[in-house]
Amino acid sequence: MQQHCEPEDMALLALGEQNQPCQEHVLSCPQCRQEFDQLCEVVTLGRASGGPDSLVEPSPELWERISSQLDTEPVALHTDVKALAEPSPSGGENVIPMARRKRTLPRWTGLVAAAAAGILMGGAVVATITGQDTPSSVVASAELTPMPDGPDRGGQAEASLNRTDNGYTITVKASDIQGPEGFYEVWLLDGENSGLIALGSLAPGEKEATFPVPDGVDLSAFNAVDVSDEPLDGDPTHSTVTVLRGTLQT
Amino acid sequence: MVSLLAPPVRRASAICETRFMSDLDVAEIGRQLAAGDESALAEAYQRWSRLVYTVALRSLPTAADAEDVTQTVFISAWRSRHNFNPEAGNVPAWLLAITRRRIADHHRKRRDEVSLEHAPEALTQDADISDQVSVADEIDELGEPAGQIIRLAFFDDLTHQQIAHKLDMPLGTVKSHIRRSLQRMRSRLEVTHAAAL
Repeated sequence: MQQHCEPEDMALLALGEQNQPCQEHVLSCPQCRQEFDQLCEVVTLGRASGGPDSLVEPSPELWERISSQLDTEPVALHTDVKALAEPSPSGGENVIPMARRKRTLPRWTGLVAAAAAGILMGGAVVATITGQDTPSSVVASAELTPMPDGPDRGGQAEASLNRTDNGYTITVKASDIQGPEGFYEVWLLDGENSGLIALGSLAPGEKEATFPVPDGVDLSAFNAVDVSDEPLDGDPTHSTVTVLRGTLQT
Repeated sequence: MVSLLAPPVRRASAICETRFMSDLDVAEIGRQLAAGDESALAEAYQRWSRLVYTVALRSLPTAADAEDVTQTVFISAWRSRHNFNPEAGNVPAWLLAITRRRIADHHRKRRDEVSLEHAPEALTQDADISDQVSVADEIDELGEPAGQIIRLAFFDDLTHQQIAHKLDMPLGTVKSHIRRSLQRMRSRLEVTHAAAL
């Protein structure tokens, strides 16, 4: 009997990739078979799930309905991402620390200011995954330029803040930019506090990438888009090597 | 001086770290909730109302039913917070267990009303729905590039070679992300199933 499959190979097999030796082994080894069946279950469920973008937010009023029945003081859902970085000690408002993202609808309607954050997905990928083309309108834009003392990678780049039916997105377009030493990461920058929100990385050679903006980002503060060259060192913080930056303007 | 604005400092930014909720954060919400901190419930709502609502929405006939169930789930969670043992389970699994009970209640009520006999079927279906939504939620938690790799593998049906090519990553890196991500989703399911018992 062939020795046990490599865990990576078994994962790929569960995804449906061809691997004859591994497949034959799994069929004949009860231990691997059990492991394999569990991975297959995950893959089947994942594929049937519609993916994370198919998860639906309840209406914004629902929390108020719940909160009013708790027999406690009403608890506010925080609306400002800066509160995440610096939970206010008190000050009357009840700010909740540790939130990953605010899930309710933005409260700054009418005060369209600037930028935001999200997870990397190329526009084409977004369309494929969600299966829908969300119409969007540009509400602010920025020309991204090299820093005076930073590296100049040539080319041209711009960023735009777009409003869609599902919230805000940021699109970064770049052409003829030289390749990074590590990889290019896109950030939102709070000019006053040098706070940073990582949006995601720019795939090599990608000319245009759109990032969904999580609700709750204070767009009047996080109004600059920054592109950094990140070394492949696993450190999630900014490398301080800014290659492009620009402030979003309406 | 490298920039016009204050230069970004290489530091462990609190914001960066909140991009993906760590297991530690999840455990902390559980401890705070069990201790009766109502802001922990708000936190749990922000984080997992989508999970609960989506399961309800896929299990029940109307959005209004799903909102009712979601409301009941969070109120039940608050009122029974003393029964939640943060050492034994995590909040999302516990919320889903409550969700499934509330959905079952709803089916039971409906069956009584229209005397349908499909309750056992509905229960199996509900378990699948809750598993699917849990996996989708876990994909959302993976962080990048793992999340993108899994999306490409799951929903675009790309092979690991195609993903490596598309993202310009070494094959080994892609394979290892895939393995780790599948394992994470599997662990998530195990915790969810344990809480449902």
